[in-house]
Amino acid sequence: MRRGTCELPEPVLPLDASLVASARRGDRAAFGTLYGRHARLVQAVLLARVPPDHVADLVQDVFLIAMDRLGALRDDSAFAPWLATIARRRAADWRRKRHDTVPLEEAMSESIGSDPDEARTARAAIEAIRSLPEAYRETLMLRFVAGLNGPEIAQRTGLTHGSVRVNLHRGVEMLRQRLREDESHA
Amino acid sequence: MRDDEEDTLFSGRGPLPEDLARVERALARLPLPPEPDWRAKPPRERRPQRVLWVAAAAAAIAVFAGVRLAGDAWDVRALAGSPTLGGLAFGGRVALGGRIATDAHSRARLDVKGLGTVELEPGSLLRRVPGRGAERKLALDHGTLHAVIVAPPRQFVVETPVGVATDLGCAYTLSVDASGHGRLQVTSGRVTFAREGFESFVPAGAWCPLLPRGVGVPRRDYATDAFLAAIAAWDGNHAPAALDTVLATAEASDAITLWHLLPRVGGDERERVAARIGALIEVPRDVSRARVLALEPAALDAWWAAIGMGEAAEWRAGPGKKQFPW
Repeated sequence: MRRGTCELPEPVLPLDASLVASARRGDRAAFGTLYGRHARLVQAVLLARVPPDHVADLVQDVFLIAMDRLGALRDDSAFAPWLATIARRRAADWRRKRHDTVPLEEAMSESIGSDPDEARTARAAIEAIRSLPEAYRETLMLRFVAGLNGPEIAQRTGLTHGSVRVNLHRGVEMLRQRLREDESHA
Repeated sequence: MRDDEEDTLFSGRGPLPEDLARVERALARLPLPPEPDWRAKPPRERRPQRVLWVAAAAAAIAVFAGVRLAGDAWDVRALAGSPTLGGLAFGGRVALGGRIATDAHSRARLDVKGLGTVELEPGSLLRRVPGRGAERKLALDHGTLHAVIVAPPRQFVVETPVGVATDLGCAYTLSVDASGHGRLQVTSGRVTFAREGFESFVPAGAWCPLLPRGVGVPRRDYATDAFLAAIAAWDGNHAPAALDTVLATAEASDAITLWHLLPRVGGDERERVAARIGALIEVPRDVSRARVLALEPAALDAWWAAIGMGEAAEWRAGPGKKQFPW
């Protein structure tokens, strides 16, 4: 892509606040960038609450809702936690309208990656995490699916750092136990 | 779980135990749904009434803040010639809404109350403008200033026609001309430069050009001549050939420049930049390259930390005021 002398095509590292402002003015490319930056976050929040085969549709739903409601966001820099809240509400709506009765093995058949070993690990991990108490599910999904560290999880969930640390500690202990049980049953 | 494992799990730094690393690898590669075509979705109708209320409230707040801050004037001293004061300026002091202009033969020093000093070179126009909260803010319309700031990070801000420089405790020189060309040179500490929501991290010993459409990528003063020439060529035309030369001449310490290139290029070019960074420095193994290529904030921050210039969170919150205090 060639441009005129002394012009920059894109500035550096986009910040959510500006992208949100641009998106609110109708800049769809800015909204697309927000999608790229936070799709994993939404995926993680949803995976903690709904069967994996419904997550893809709901991820898109959440972003469409966010696009419609951008005008209601008071602090543009708080886009990520706001988006996570929309995802939680959307998951709750989904659960209210539809019983969560899809067998997990079936549900995940198309939504897990293609590498067989990795798919097996992912399937077992998702199943195990989804069986944990609610307090630990989202924290672990944000850590392992979205790749967020403890402080980032705290910032996006509103939990204290101490609570996130405890959730990670206890959640991982329980996750390990469930995975061990699965292996022994297998 | 051992304490060190728990710390790694929480901080995200360092390798996880193998069983958790396996889980992380598998879950981090879960496929994402295809991105919708956002252009196909019609824009929502605007609600002008709300906009008017917000504008009215903002105006009221601005008036209130203006009245309060008018009493907080900063001293100005002539270093050479006869600088002129205008707007809300009186008795050798400049208040919020005031301005300092230097002609071709004059220089001035501004005492930024409680934070440090700013020296204005000939041919400059500087205004005091409202900042947010405790922030002290100036607007450099054109000219050159040297700032020496000893205040806590993020309290001193200078906006220019092409972006905003935020001090993280440092000394720097900022220049911009009427056409929007200029330069930010950091001599100690750190400065971030942002424009329309994009930011560059500029450490001491580095500089970046200011250009009409924003800020160029930071580069080290002592990068090789070949690299500096290559990145300057890329600044100018973004030609693929120029990027080839940038990547070929980059050294490990130029990773700071390459990291800033990631969001500026797309597709294959971004992949090549990421690959070159991976070849020059040790990037975190637990952060997939796909996430970096998607510009996920956590992944980009992890790569920035690997460069060795501090955590990205420190740059955003300031080294003396860490966002994450442990």
